[in-house]
Amino acid sequence: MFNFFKNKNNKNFNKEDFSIFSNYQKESKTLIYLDNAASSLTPDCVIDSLSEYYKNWKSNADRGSYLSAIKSSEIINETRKSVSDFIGATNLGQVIFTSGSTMSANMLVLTFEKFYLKNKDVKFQNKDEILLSVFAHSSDILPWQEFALRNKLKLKVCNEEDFVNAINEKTLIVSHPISSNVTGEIFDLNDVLQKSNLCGAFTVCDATSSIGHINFSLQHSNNKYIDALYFSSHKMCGPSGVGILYLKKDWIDLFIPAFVGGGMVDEINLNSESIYRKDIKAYEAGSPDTASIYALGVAIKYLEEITLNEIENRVRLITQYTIDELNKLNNNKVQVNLYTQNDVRLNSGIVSFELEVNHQVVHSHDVGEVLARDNVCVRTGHHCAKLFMKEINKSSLTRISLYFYNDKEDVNMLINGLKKVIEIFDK
Amino acid sequence: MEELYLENILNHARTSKTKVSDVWIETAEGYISGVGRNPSCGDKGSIFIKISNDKVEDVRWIGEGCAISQASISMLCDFLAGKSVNELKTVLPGDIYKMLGVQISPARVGCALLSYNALEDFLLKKSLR
Repeated sequence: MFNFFKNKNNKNFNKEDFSIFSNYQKESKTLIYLDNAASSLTPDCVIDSLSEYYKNWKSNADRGSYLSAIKSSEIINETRKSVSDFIGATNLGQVIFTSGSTMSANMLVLTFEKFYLKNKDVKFQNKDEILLSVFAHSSDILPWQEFALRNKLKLKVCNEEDFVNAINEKTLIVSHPISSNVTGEIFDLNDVLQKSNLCGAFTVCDATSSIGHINFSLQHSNNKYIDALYFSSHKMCGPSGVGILYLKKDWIDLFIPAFVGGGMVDEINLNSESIYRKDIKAYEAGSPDTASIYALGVAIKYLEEITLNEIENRVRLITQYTIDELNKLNNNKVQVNLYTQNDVRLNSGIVSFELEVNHQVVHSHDVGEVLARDNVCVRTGHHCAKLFMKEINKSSLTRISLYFYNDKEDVNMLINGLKKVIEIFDK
Repeated sequence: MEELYLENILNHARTSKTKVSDVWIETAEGYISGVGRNPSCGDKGSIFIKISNDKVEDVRWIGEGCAISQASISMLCDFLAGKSVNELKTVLPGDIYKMLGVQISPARVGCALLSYNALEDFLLKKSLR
């Protein structure tokens, strides 16, 4: 394909591939990046690919007969295939390029709604329930909530224990993330997917915290029943500004795109309905972000070279080390309350916690502020998972999210930072 | 680094003289409340102001949140004591930052100004009476 990895020998699959670390060191600082669930860092090969695209092939794909336009088209087609292979979509469905998970989620709901309104009385009689997981992210909850309000449907939220039982013949939508962005838990969705399929519900999975972090494939077990899935490039070493919406093939033919404009219309009829393309590009109105799509393809190749097995192994080891070191802080003055999946084989690399000093909770913002002064980067607050926070009766937690380039030294610096927090608040 | 958590801020957040309990709220009479929230994290705080002869006769607060947000409410309450209603109307976000006396990063603006939001809410409620 293209010149991915021009400097192949310069790939180490660790921090050395990421200039941001050495750039910090040039300023006599150390970057301890533990906020990968918010956004991962970007390897140099991905950054370089953006520049490569703009310097060599900048043009609008599918809109010209000249060389760079043809190259742009090829980039999109080949990256589409790369993404499809990466998530195991072959023979099951196709992937659509969006601007990110939030756009994917909104686009999916509006596209589904168009189909729902046309077929409500025929295909969806007696189906009036939308089932969400308590682990849902805001961008998962809100589009479905608005859909429910517009169409007078019932919105139900369930925890893991009750989720499968809550699926029934009246369920229209089942939405469940692949893993939690707060606890890191990788959910076993086999029973959910099977029952959802049996009950004729449309199943959607938010994979934003998962793709590129765990060994996920649509080909595994009952994942083939997933009707739609989405994720963002910037959380898996890719550039910001691009994401993916996967749709199962039957739905691609049945749905009518909700986002319309240039590049996806065959015929405009002002007196009746316009006729849209019948292929996957019907869902990609407007000019694509070809540079970012190219860079996403490079990111996938980079992760494939490391292999997801290796990524999982490294993340499990460092997650275990993190849990162990946090637990070592506990004594008669200090309590670290973990909100995480303790079995690291079922954890995508996230450990959230609440720190108590002398039986008083140190607010996560205060924890994060002290850590930030030493460039220890964590996330604090509700993590856009307000339903889960309400379930555990907490308003905020500190979240550590690890990736394949994190090491013991990162965690040691985190612990040193937390000891400073303890010292300040032990007054 | 520790300057953000000057003893002053921690004292205000943890041992404020004007902080009250839920029990006090149930029995308080003659106060108008103002509520402030930081939606990004769930921090919240309420101020309770009793006005007499157009002046602040008494001011109390209740709240949950980070040291900055709680210290901010406590400091604001100390500031408001004895002030006229007109003076309350002239309080600006910059005054809150001065009271805190430390540099507030953009990420902590919501925390620092939770008290200011509570005051604005109070003034709105007062104007509606």
